[in-house]
Amino acid sequence: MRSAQAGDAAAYRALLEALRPWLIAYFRRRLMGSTGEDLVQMTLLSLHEKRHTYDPNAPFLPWIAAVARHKLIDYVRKNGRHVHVELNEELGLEDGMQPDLAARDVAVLLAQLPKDQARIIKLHKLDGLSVEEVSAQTGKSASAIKVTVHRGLKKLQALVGIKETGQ
Amino acid sequence: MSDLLDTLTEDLKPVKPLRSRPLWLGALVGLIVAALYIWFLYGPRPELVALIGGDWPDRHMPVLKPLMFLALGIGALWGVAGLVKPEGRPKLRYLLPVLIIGGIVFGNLLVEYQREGWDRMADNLSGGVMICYVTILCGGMAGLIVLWRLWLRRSATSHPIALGALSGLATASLMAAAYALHCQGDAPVYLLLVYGVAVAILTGIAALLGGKLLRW
Repeated sequence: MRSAQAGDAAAYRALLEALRPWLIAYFRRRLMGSTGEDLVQMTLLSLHEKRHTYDPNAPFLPWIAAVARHKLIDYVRKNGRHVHVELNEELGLEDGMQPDLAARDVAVLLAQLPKDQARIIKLHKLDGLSVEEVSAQTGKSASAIKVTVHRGLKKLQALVGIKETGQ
Repeated sequence: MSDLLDTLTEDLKPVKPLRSRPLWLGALVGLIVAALYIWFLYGPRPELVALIGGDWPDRHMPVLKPLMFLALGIGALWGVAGLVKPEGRPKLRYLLPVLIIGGIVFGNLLVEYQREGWDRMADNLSGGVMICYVTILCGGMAGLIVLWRLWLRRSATSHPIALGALSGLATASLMAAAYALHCQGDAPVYLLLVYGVAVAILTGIAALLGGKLLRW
């Protein structure tokens, strides 16, 4: 998206093509099986017209999800359909998001945490190391690792606007 | 779909990401212009002239009143900056200055009502009410138009009514802060029924306009 904002047409086309399956899955889940092809097109048009509102230093998923959600609500309002739209939506691979887009968002989000905290979360949550293994690698106690991960995840949730559900 | 992608990617122009710095800079320039307008055309209240000479006024209101509306304006601008993008959500903290300041003024109004009764309180509404309404409404509306032309129309909010309302609250509050440099009506009843109602009217108008103009 950053390249698209800079005028790189090839990167922009690749992004739009990568987004299409995600948008189809997103709308299909919420429109009871309908593909909402016209809704996908409307969303891509809106993305194009409002691409300047994306902050290049912020994660991309919350932005595109908000655009899609806004278009969905607009569509539902105009067509009088009843669908269930969550206030705090789970975003990610289950809607068919390309892993590279999700990975880029994770990198952007982790960059906003202190280096130590980001490293511990990466080792534990992304690389799949156990608490004991992370503890051995970083030289911190297991309880300190748990606290660091817990606080870091809370910060990440706040950064993407997800409220804690107590789960 | 391929046709759509061809159309969207054909002659793709670079775009400048929407930043909040121009909003704050514009608000600062607007506030300075409004303050100069009030200072030189309406004239400052005597306590402020004395303050420039080094004499702190006996009462705090000549200084507190402009600062109060400045705080309302800054709080609302913070909300505007937060809501201008699709992922922005309304948060209670954007309204905290309104709740705190409104609560203090309303509390003082109740105390005054118990102590003096309505008739004596109403005496405070005798002078300068119309000019206060007109100045805040016209100045705030002018600020709102400039805000729309320079920044707000590039927005993509998921909450057009809330964004419109906060924009109106911001421009009306900043105009009220400028007008407070001249106005000597410091009574709680004046603040609530003159300043408060003028700001509320513009906030309501802006909310209605936001619902129409900020859809995308």
